[in-house]
Amino acid sequence: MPRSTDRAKVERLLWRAGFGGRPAEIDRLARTGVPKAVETLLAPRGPALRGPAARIDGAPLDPVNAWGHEVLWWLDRAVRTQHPLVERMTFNWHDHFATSNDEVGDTRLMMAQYWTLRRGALGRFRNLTRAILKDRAMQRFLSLANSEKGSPNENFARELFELFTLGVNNGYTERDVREAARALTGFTFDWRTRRFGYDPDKHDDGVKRILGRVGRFTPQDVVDIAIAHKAHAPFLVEKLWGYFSPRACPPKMVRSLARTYVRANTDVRPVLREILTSKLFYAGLNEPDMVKPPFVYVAGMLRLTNTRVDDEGWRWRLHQMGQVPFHPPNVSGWEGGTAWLSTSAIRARFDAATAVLRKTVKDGSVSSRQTPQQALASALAATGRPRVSPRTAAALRRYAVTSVKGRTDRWEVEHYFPERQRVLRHLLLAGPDAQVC
Amino acid sequence: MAMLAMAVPPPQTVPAPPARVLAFADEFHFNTSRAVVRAGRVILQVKNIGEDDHDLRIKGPNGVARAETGRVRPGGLRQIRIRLPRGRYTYLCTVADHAERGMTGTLVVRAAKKTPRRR
Repeated sequence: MPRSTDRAKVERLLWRAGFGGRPAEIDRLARTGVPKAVETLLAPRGPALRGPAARIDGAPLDPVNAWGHEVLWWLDRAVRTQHPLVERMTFNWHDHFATSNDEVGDTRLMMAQYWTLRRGALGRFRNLTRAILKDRAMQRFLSLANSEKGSPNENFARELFELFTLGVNNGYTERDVREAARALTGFTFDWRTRRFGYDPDKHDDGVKRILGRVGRFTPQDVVDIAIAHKAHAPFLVEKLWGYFSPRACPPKMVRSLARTYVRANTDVRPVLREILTSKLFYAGLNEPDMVKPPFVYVAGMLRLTNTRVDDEGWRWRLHQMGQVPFHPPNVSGWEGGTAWLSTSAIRARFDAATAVLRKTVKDGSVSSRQTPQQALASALAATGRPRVSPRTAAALRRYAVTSVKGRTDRWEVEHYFPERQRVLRHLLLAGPDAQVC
Repeated sequence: MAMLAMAVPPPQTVPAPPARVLAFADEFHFNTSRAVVRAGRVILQVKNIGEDDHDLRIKGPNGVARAETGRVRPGGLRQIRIRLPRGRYTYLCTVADHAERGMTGTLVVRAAKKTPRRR
């Protein structure tokens, strides 16, 4: 048996760097120790997915041709992934390079972007940003396509500095944005044929001054210049840290992570290794303080209960919780943190647990001989043995006793014993402990 | 042998799932997820990602309207379920002069695949 501390650390690791771990998975990784568990996440092997794919009304998903199926498609991947960090980082990069199909209006392009993000999920950030520069969904979203010399569109240039590489007002000026926009001209999009391209005649090949450097820069040069800027590494590593911990990254740690990042030539893998093995990442194991993002919460709940995505309602539930993949609210991505815990979002989380549990425990299916301890054990087994705080455990034990006390009539046994099981499972999936990791 | 043959139930046809088409509407284009579908049941969805109201009317090869979504508000989604025999269909937005501005397109419906049979 793994030590309980290692188990708790791996449980956190799998929630923050993935979509939650099944009990056997946690035990297996905990036995190897945290450093090896992190290595397993950083270099996964074997098939990326396991189990049967999602089906709606008996038919496979049709993500390109049916509205909302692209959301279910990603959710299904998160539920079935065996490469959790790759999938989670793909989602983190989707937040970082936030692009919405509400404006792109082309699911095929959004899914192509998914694969671009996934290919670059654990690789060099420079390569990923270069790929995003050429990504067609992004070119549509930030009006990079059809930005021409003489009238360059500044959207992409601004977000490249502000959101993607440097941070708001962090080492660049308005003039840098304007000059970068000139260098980024030349990409084309034909509305009629829907073809993308690059036309050198539409590119401004004049001399530009960007972040202190002067030259006849091309679009790719702009990415490279931004990434070579001294403000970039601290900005990016702090942003990465924020995806894994709600605690402020101490300045010393930012410096260390930035050094690692620069030495690794913008490879994020060593940075992630440093984050995921740091003491601070595992601080407060008994009082988790990171709110699970809705997408992670839902995927994890389905994963731990072995529930297949089989219902179009998951798109709507994610919407109610405030996080629909392929549809971030704006180019800044999702706000996250305690913003996920509005009254209506919590209600939606409760409803999600109800949807998972529907049809699982029917009236008349539980014997009156089931003890409170057995009831709790059964509920824990059915919900993937989630972490339960001592306070919650005490409350659940109390409920397991009082909820069926004196219920001896046949109809009462048929209803209240299963009801106890339904409530216990529901509280384990949607109670306060389940919201954090 | 004859007894055995009689014991086997007749093959059942498996209804193919309806073909799906998703059309994004904005000013002043339709972007459809596919231009060709198989004949049979079709679910056609219109997602309005523009700033104006839009709709979609689909006309048969003879120019007669087969179905329409009704107005879709900005951000809204509507769908129509229709059965389409093979042929060349046109679709357009009937709001104001949107069709003249470019909100038209063609959907080709090919002969249906042979239905797989299940025993």
